[in-house]
Amino acid sequence: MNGIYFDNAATSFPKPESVAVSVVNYINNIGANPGRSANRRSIEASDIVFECRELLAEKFGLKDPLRAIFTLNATDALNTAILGSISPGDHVITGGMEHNSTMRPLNSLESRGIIELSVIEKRQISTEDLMAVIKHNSKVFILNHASNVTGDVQKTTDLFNLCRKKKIITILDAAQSAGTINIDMHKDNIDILATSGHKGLYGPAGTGAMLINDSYDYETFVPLKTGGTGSSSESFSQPVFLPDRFESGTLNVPGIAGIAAGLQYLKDNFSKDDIITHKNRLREMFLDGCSTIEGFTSYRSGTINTGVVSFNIDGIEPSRLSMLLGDEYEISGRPGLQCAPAAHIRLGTFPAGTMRFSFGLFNTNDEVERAVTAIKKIAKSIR
Amino acid sequence: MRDIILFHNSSEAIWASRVFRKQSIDYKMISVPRHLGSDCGYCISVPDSNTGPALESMKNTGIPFDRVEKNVAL
Repeated sequence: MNGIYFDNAATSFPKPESVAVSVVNYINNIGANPGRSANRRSIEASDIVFECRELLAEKFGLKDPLRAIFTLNATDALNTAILGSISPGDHVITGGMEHNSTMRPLNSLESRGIIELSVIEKRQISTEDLMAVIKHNSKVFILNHASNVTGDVQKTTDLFNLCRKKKIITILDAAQSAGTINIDMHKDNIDILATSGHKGLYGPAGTGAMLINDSYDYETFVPLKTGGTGSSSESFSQPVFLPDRFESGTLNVPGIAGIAAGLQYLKDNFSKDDIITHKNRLREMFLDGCSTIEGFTSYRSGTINTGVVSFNIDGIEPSRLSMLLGDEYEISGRPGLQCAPAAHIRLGTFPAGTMRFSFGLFNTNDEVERAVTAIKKIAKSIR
Repeated sequence: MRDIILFHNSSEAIWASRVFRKQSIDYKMISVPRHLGSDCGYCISVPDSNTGPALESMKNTGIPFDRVEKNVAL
């Protein structure tokens, strides 16, 4: 299928060729369940899974690969982190640009009277903003590292340093930033990091991970799911040790093989800032190209960006713009609220939302030029 | 004779096997013998002359394990 894909914030496409090769290799040539038997195939499957844990640990500055836990996606990782770390009566703090993967579990807990919730209603949060809401029972601070709507990156270092001093658990939603922004869980004081495996890490859809800081006492952290782990099978209790404490049931081994291949591809082909530089070059090129279009508005700020742009054109709904781009120009983006109504409230674009383009590793200058031309034609057609 | 290194789970055993492979330490991954545990996963059998270097290597890497059973007949 041809066309231009600018929806990498939803899931990246295309993937490196090695990702599909690894997935198919597992399915066709290995196939066994990891950690459930000492047959050759099971050991090979376990080896693939562990290799992925090592790559994840390396990527995010962890020493212990057993602290890389596989999840269904970033939402699953965030739910595990949030529900596992809070107790009734705790005060939880979050930011103003959060995705519903954070807002819905927090809202559910607050509406049932389980937690007190403070939302810092800003696009960029300062230490003063955070200090103003910290209370005696503040337990957890959950923050979106990069907005899926605007791509704006929240500076976390000072905020998380403050949390460390106040003994507040820090949870970073890195769904949009992982693979694009360099993250070191130790230097950045991140207790728990939640990420998808299928966006900036270039694994298959339906994969994710939760990473637990080497210094974080995970035994106080209650698992969301319990069940068979292939370990301590004589016991009816969930094992305490990692990763079994948080991984019950058969893992998504084809998906994990794919994440490992994606991570290896990134490691082999890109140095520190290559990816963010590439994505932002495309973003700037797009914004420059559209700057002369009458009625074109983008929701940019001066911060570091993951290569995402949200925009509107006066006189046309984002959903219709998306349809025209798809039907007439074969350009795929994402219109609407992008599952982040809180962010749109902050931007003043609620409830209609925006049209979003999110650039990826494999997008080109030519594709951006074609998109600019398409948008100019659409804008002209409605004047 | 061979000793057996028992782990809490198969992830720890796989981690150890990857390190042994890199460091050319002779080992064999086997199912946990029934009389030593009820896990469905793996443990590692090493020649008793290799037990010391194997444990040293695991300690240096930070690999957790349960215990070592000496001179196990398989």
